[in-house]
Amino acid sequence: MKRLLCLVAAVAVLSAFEAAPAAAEGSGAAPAAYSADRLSKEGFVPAAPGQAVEDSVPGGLLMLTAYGVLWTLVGGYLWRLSRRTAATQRDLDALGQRLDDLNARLKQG
Amino acid sequence: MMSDKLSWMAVFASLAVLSALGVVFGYAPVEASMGIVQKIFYFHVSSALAAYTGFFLCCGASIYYLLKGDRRADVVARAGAEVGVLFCTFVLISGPLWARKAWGTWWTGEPRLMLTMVAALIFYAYVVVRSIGGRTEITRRICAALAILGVADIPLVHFAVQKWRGNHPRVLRNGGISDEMEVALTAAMLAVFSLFATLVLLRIRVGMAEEKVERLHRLATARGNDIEDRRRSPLLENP
Amino acid sequence: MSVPRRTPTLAQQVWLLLQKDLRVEMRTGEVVATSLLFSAVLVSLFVFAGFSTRKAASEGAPGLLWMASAFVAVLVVTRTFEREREDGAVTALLLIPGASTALFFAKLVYNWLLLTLVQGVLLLLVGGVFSVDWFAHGYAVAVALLLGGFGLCAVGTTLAALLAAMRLREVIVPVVLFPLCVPLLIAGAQASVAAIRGQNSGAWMVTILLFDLLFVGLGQWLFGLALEGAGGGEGDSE
Repeated sequence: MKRLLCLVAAVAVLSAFEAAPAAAEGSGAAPAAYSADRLSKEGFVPAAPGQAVEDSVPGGLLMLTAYGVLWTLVGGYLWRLSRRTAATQRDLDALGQRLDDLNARLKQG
Repeated sequence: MMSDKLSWMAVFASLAVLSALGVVFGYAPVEASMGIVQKIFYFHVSSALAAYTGFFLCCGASIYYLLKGDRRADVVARAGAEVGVLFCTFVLISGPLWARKAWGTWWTGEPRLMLTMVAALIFYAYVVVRSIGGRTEITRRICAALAILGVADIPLVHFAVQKWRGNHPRVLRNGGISDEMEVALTAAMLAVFSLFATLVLLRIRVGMAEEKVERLHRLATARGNDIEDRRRSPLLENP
Repeated sequence: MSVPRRTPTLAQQVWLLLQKDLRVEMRTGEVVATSLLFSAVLVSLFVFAGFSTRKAASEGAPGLLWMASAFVAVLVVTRTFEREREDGAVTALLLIPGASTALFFAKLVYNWLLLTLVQGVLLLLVGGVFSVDWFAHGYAVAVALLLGGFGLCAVGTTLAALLAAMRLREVIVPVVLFPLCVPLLIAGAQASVAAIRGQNSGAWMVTILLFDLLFVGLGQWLFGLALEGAGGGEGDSE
């Protein structure tokens, strides 16, 4: 099960890097100046209605990836928990069977 | 299978998540210079808080376990660590995705990023030791100790990386956020924390059931041995 | 030699246990020899990886010095209980009243002595290969290494005790030790950089000292708990 979680995380990370070349092509040499500008700035500014939002890096794809990762992680964890619950249930059934056998033998002997 | 309380909790969490998504995408405005990628922010920040909550829960329960030896505390510690690791993984993946757009780079030597990275590494190790060690007393103690050492380390890492370098957007402290965005953040917090609580409670339930099965197994084995003994030597009196 | 009536003080216990380990090490020289060899190999790897040709070697050298220290620390601490485990002597040592505290400090000081010895050689090797004069601006680097080595050993000794009965111990000790020691490595490397540049490294030294105090305290507590567990239930491990 640990392996599964790792796999999910790995796939998510890989898909994030998959998006990288496309993003890099779009932005060209911009990142350095862009980041310096960004770093000196604090707080978020809402865009005015109708204002064109600069989009050199495909932000939508990055955002979708992020939310995809979150729901994949949560879903994977739930699936793992359900597997564990099923295993525990099987254990419990086997145990009940065994206890019944023992009780029956106790009555006989 | 599920008790009523927990399924209500799950229903509440799902509704909270759906409405938070609605507020984040339908109500909160698109940020001017970063664009739509800034919408990662709401779940990113909430998940970071949830991850640290999980780690601190794990540490507290571990201390209680070491002092009192209560197995239920161990189950709680394990649940806190696992769910904390889950949210921490999301934070570590969504952070670079956001930074790629916002700062123009996947990874920076930014203090909070590094702190989260270190915390995640420590608790990944915790989970790995758990699975390698199996369900033994010594593993439980080792993991409790690891959780305590790890959480004790967090303030020191924080101090060291802060002193070393720093340029995270201090959005919340400076009030650099519009009212609509604040509403969205609150909704996301509520959603993430109800999801966190549901997962932790679910994990605790599974853990408790496993503990119970193990206890019954021991009981059955003891009783089986008892019967075998009596069958082999009929002279032995019932104790 | 007469047997003392009263229980020896903590310092005496630590000294006795330390003497035992040092005597064994002096006879065989296993740990020192392999660690020294390892550090020489490590430094030569840095050279072959191209670090020594960079202009920024004087900035990078402190980092490499601390990284090498961390690697050697792993090598030293994972062997903390090797001999005791081989002949099942941990349980015997624990029969001495109040032994876990004494045992912790004895093992800690023993590991620290070995690490310090190797760090001294590392200082010369790294300084020689990267042409850095560590002592041009006083002894701050040496002090940082001594204090930082103590912290590394405090965490390492605790982990060695905790993980003594664990499968895959050799992998798990570094996997846990390195993240825990991140603040120590940052502070140590920055203190060294500051010292080389002739700046004040006081704040970083305080950070190292805080780390030492925190993990000696916690380590001492958890060490006792870990050994109780190992002594009480050796059978249920693995």
